[in-house]
Amino acid sequence: MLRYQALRVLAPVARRIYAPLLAVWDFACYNAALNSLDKALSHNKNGAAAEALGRIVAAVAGIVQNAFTMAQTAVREIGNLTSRYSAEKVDKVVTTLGKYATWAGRVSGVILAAVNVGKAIEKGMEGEKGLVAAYLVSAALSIAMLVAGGLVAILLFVLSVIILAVITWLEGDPFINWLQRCWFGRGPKTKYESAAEEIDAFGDAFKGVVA
Amino acid sequence: MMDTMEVEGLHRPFKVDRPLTAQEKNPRFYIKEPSGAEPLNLLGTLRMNSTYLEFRDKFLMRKGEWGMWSAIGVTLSWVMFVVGMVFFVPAIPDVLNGTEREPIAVVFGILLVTAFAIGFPWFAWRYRCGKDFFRYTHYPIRFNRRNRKVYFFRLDGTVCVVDWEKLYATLGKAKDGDVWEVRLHVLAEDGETVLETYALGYAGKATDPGVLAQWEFIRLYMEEGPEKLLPLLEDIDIHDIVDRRETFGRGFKLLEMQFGFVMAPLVFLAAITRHYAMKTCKIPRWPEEVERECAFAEGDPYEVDARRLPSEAKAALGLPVEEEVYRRV
Repeated sequence: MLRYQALRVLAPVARRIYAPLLAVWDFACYNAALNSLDKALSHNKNGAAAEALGRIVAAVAGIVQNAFTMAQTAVREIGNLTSRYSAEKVDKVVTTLGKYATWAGRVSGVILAAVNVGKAIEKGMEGEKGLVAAYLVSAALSIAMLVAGGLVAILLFVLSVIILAVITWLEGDPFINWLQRCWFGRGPKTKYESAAEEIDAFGDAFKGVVA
Repeated sequence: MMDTMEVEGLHRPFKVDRPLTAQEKNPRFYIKEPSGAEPLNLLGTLRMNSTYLEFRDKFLMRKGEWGMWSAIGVTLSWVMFVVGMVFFVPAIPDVLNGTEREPIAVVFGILLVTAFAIGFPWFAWRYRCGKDFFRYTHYPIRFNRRNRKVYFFRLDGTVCVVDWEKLYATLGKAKDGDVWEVRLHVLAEDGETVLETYALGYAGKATDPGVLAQWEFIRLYMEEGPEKLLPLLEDIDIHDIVDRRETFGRGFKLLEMQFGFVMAPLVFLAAITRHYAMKTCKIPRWPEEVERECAFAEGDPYEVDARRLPSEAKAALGLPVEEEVYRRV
């Protein structure tokens, strides 16, 4: 009974706030991706630029999805306040927005999965097997979200946020990473293949610290 | 979030062998009482004549959509498998020798990509797109006004026959969402236990007049006859799927009508999977007995189907015909 009461109170609140929260999250991802794109372009790294671009598109799709969901909620709330005369129109708008939101979310999932697989390939080339596994888990979660629904989709989203934190932790400090992989590095990681790549990576690591 | 109403009854069977819920008891729609909604076809009719009205099921409109998402997911899961194998398999000797720096990542990675490359297609097939492929192109419902019977084509290809008077019509709600549809329950002798559930093909908010419109359309046919319905039918309403598979163009058109031009690239992909889903599916055939019970006279003036479009039937009866006659797709 208590559980039912709690759900009755929490469910409408959750329904109203999850879209704005996800939109903020997507906006943060968009900003991060924009910075990565800027960095990649300044160092003429086409692969990294393409990956950043993918993340930007995915974030934009996510923002669009949540914007549609928020608009849907707003229209529904307004519809509840207005007369029955407008109910038909309100329903039409709500249904359309819902469909767009669902598809935009899935498109975002496809792009994120592709970006994560790309990232896994990149890390694989560097010999970072832990990160390959982590990026593949992240890709798997995005793919699973394509066919999941309801609570399972929310659970998958939470897991993907956790795995992102794990990736950030595994990637570690960019300077330490560079020191381990440079010509004089004594770490277990794969060395940079060329001096140019090493200098570029130094620039990236330095930019990361400054930023 | 998934559009849950689309999958209720197909991906997830309706709950049966249970008593009617309080919500299902109110509102109940009685066959003799107009629901108050404007009767609308809403792309429901497959064919009509003086004996019966054949209606589409609710799954027809979005058939193929899950096939598209599943196909994209399966492709990505197999790409993941290849990537994982390329990077993890060469490290197996090092793991066995104890010289691998990240042995857990290697073992976990191999298990993950293998399990996902097998598990995802299995799940997608078992619970999503498998419900669209190698089944039936659609699951028609036939309302016979002469013998007052309703024939439901079940998902397994058998037929459920129920008396029109005994049909229990009410609203049904999606499991997680404010989406409603008209559900037709077949009840046990006690008038309380739900034996089977079928749904009409339009879902929306409870206030959406479209939700009741199809029910009113069917009720009008059964209670007052085809002459009331013919003026309401337009050529575009008639699905040409009774004895042949839907064309690619029609499938694309139906999806595009639902999702709009904004989603055109995705709609095109979904139309492709829809087309192939239709190709793998059997066309539903009513048993001889049902066809016998639903026989209608040659030259029935109210006969309407993909061969004799509503505009032709209206013209023959001297009823006003819309100027723009929809071309067959």
